[in-house]
Amino acid sequence: MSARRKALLLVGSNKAFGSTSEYIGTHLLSLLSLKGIETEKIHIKSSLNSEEGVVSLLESFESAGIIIFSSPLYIDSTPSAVTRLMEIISERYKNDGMLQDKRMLAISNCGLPEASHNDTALAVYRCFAGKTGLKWAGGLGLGMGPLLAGRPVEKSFSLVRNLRKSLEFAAGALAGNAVVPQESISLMAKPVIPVCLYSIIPALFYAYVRIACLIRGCKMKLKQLRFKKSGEPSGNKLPA
Amino acid sequence: MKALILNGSGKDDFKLQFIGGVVESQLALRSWQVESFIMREINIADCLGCFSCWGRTPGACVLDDAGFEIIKKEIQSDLLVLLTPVTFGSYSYHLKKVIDRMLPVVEPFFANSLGYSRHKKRFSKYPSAIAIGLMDGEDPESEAIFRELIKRNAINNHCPNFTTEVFFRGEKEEQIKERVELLTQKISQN
Repeated sequence: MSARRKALLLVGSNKAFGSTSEYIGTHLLSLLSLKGIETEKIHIKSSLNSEEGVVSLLESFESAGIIIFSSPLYIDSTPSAVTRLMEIISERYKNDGMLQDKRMLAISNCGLPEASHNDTALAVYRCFAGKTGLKWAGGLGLGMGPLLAGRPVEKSFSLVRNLRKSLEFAAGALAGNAVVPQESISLMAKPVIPVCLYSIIPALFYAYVRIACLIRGCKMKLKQLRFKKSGEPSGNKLPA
Repeated sequence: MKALILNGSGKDDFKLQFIGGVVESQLALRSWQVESFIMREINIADCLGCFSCWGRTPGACVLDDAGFEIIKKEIQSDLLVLLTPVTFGSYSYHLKKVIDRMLPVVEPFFANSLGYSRHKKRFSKYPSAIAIGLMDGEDPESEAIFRELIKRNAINNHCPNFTTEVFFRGEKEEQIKERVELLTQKISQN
């Protein structure tokens, strides 16, 4: 099978499994698979932990014609492990034309309500593609990532129908050797629920944590919750 | 006044190490109490993405390494200086590792600011920030991304003031010293 008909998903989440990034990317791979494209998935962080992992990752990278980065937004940019991989690829191939037959799609997701927070990360991915000679196929940004609720896309609530539709358009474009259409980008970026409604989720989560701590008698953890008002961070080491 | 310098330079990046040295000496001349770290020499793990710093152990990372101390020093400083080779418009890996670990300094709750959401403050005081990026040559795309990234980081991390400076590898040492002197003079006056 030619390289063009193979897609490699590079999951940039630092979680070993079950991340939003992985679920989104895996769903896209399943759509590509239906179009006759061979797929492979690699976790970037675990691969970078050993030399063998790096070698194996680069072999898969060289054999694929479609490269998909799917990562969370970390402090307005790519996670550190993704940055490291981009440095490795850039040093190895040095824009010598070896990557010109490959196309790259980037998907960035964040927990903030607005998808536009992903803009700088997507710009970083695009810059990386340009500097290494990869053909840029597009960037998709998703806000309200936690609404996937830690479930695969196909098992998620119907709230994420825009996400599914967006990935369908993206898969069609990638399979057809085209750039991801604006429709896909807009659907991915559309808020799933009103921002004001989404904004109460952290408060509910925090209340849940406090109640759980009270029930389990975790007094040490409750003590830490009071430090947030102190104006000084705690110098104490926390128990494991 | 305390300043914390986090240098994300690579092993052979003598230019960035030189710039870091000049910044440190200029700040010290202006009576700043300076602490400087070369990030590749520090044992810091990548962020786990576990959100324990928001849930189980608010304000503190569960990882037992230098990250905890560096974040503590960050919050206790008046000025944070970040030095990095501009890497596709972003930070180098060595610096990004510690940047990612700065999530505990904000709370999980949202506040609306300048038309979009950001996380609320956890502490009463945050340092101002200077970001110094080093580029091989003129690269408007990378520079624009870098400046936008620093602006967003500064807003989202509640920096009262921030500034971004981009240096080029071809710049002479005397020119660099002059620029750094002006920069530190401006910061000290503010």
